[in-house]
Amino acid sequence: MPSSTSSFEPRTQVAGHKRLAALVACVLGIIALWLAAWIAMPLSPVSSQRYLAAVEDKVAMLAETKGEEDRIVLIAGSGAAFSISARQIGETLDRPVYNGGLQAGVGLRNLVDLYAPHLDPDKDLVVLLPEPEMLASDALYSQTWCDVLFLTKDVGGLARRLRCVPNVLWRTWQEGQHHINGTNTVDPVYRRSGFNARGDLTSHLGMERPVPDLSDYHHPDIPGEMLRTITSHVRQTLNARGIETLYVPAAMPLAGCEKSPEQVATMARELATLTARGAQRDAVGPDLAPFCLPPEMFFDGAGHLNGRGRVVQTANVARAISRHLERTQE
Amino acid sequence: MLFSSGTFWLFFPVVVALLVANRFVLRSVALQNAIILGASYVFYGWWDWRFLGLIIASTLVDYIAALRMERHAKGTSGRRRWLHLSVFANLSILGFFKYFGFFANELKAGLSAAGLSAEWGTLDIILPVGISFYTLQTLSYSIDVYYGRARAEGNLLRYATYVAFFPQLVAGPIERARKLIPQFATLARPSWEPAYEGVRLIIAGLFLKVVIADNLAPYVDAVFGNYTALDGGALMLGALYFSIQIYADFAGYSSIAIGLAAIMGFRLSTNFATPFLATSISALWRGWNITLTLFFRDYVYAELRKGKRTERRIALANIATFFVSGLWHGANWTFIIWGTVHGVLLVAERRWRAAVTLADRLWLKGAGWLYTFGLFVALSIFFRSPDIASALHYTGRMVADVGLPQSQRGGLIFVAFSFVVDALWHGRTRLDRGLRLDWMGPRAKDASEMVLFATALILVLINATTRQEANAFIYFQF
Repeated sequence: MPSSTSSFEPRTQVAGHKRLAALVACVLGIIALWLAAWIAMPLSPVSSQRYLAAVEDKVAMLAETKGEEDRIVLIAGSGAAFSISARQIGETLDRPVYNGGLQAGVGLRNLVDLYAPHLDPDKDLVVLLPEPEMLASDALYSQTWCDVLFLTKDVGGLARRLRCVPNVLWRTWQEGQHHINGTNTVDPVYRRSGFNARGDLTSHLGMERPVPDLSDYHHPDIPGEMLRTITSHVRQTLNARGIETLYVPAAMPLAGCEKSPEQVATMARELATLTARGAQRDAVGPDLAPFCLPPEMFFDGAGHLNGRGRVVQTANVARAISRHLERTQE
Repeated sequence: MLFSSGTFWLFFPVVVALLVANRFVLRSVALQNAIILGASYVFYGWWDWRFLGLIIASTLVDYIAALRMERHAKGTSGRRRWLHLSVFANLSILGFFKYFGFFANELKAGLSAAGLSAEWGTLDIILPVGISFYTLQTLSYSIDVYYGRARAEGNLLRYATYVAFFPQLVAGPIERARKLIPQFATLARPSWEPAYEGVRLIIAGLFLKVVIADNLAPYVDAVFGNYTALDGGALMLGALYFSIQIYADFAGYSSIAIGLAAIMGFRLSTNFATPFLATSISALWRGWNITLTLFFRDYVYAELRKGKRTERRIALANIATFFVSGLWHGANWTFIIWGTVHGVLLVAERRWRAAVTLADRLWLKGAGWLYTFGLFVALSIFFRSPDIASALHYTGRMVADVGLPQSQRGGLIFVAFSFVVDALWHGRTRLDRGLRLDWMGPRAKDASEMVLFATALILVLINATTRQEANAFIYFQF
């Protein structure tokens, strides 16, 4: 039988604390080398052309158009990117409209922080259209947000979000594999080049897909505390700087609205307080019925609308903005 | 609270900081034990606070029973009565929570087969985590006190700390009272050298668990969940992956447990000794879950073998011990068959070894390894399958459709990792001699070890953070 004791006898002359310090230094050294490889290595097409890489284009779009009179900026997840035509809304309202919709996994607070430096308090109206899924799992740390840091090679952002270091290391490893294998496959829908100059995703519009089965869809459970955290963050980051905000509901599967009408209404009422100009707030929730859409209008099961649905939701959003503008001008 | 979860790594430094503060400021053994006991109850109650009632009850019963046993002379009926009470209480707890459903269903099936009406409701009993481990530990204490192999512990705090010591509470190593209790009688002396070894053991354990076992889990689930549609080669890989998964999972847990205890200034027993490099079934069991194997050897096999030592008696004792070991692993016939067949193999091996003297030749060792590892992998199908019919069906398909695997080959990299770890390791869940890199010379060995452990830690961090949720250790279910 093997010995049943562990002796832990010192095996060398070097003290344990020095060895421990050396181990920590070694870990940090390997991480530093790995991160240097991340910075030095060019992104393969798999990464540089993927859907999420459009984050750079969106930030650049907002930075370049900052200062345009009466600019409207939409902030949301992929629901807005797929399901709203900023170009069409701009033509309807005769204003420059930009679609900042990206991906729910990024998190609304992260997205607001990312766009905030490129917003103009005097000239911009920010329209917030968070999908329920975006609100249910909003977190400052998420793998998608770490992917954003990786794709933008944002060393400063990584220093502020150290939890993303392992994700960035992993992505760097995968990136090396893409280079070695010569992989360059990019999804035909989820691709960076699928966006137009206004930030609308159009790559899905010509595609025919079977109607998704949304009969089992349930409105996610969004804790009240989460909603308050998000609204408070928006107030501090945008409203406190004098930026005008408007909440407009995202498109939702009709099944979810019918199964949990109370839940949906409570969420909308809470988010309606995001509609603010200066200190004034809108306490009345929006009429949700037009935003609850049947499955025929959805492109997939992830809440993205097809061409028909996109027309409906675009009109919904244009109408909501128009009403808001009328109210504020009175 | 899982060792591989973020919560645990916030909890553990707090416990160590409190112990160090006590060590240098108050220097109180009672406070040290109170800190450990409190931390252990928080650790255990994290799963479900109701579980605490059981562990406290088990602690009190054995504490009182042992003290009462010592009041009676050896061999007296009074002493025996208190032992019986302790054994009855422990086995009742284990029996109710772990085996009630199994035996109730078997009885129902038996009565129905005999044409008798057997209609009664079922109880949805939750199996408290680690119950199989701490009940064996307390049982061993009572039996040792009964036979005079250990003294009854008069200090309740010390005894409760022994039962609930959180690094080894839920999945071992199962510690004997005479080894662990004296460590709680003095002030632990955490020092840098054991702490360094502890950190390396934790890294090695986390690597086994998070990088190897958790990455093999999806392959295993995919194969066992869809075995009717896969080719024989893929089924063979599924069994191989599961064997490696369960080893990496459990040896990883043991390594982390020993490492945590070392950082706190305590020593736990070795629990794994590279079993998959063994060249016979008996050698494999000398390196697999060593403290459990020793428990069954000392408290079951030794009892069954008492009396005239005939080959027949030894064989029956061996088979019966492994039958009990199989039943201990789970309330299912699959575990019983798995254990019993291992017992039969041990008996056969004993006879075979008596008849044939194995020369120390490489090809014989190779053949021995192939037979040992191959049989373990084949039997692991019973360990993983939900019932005997599935296990037989799986095995039948695997044999009938034997060939090169057409899918699921991606997991082989983790199998290779596992054997590399074993080859580098000195064959114990301890690292005080370092890795098998002596041929490099001391300086190069030190540097290589440093880089290997640092890389392993980084791989653990990457795997842990890019996975949505920490996976529970497999042996928790036992």
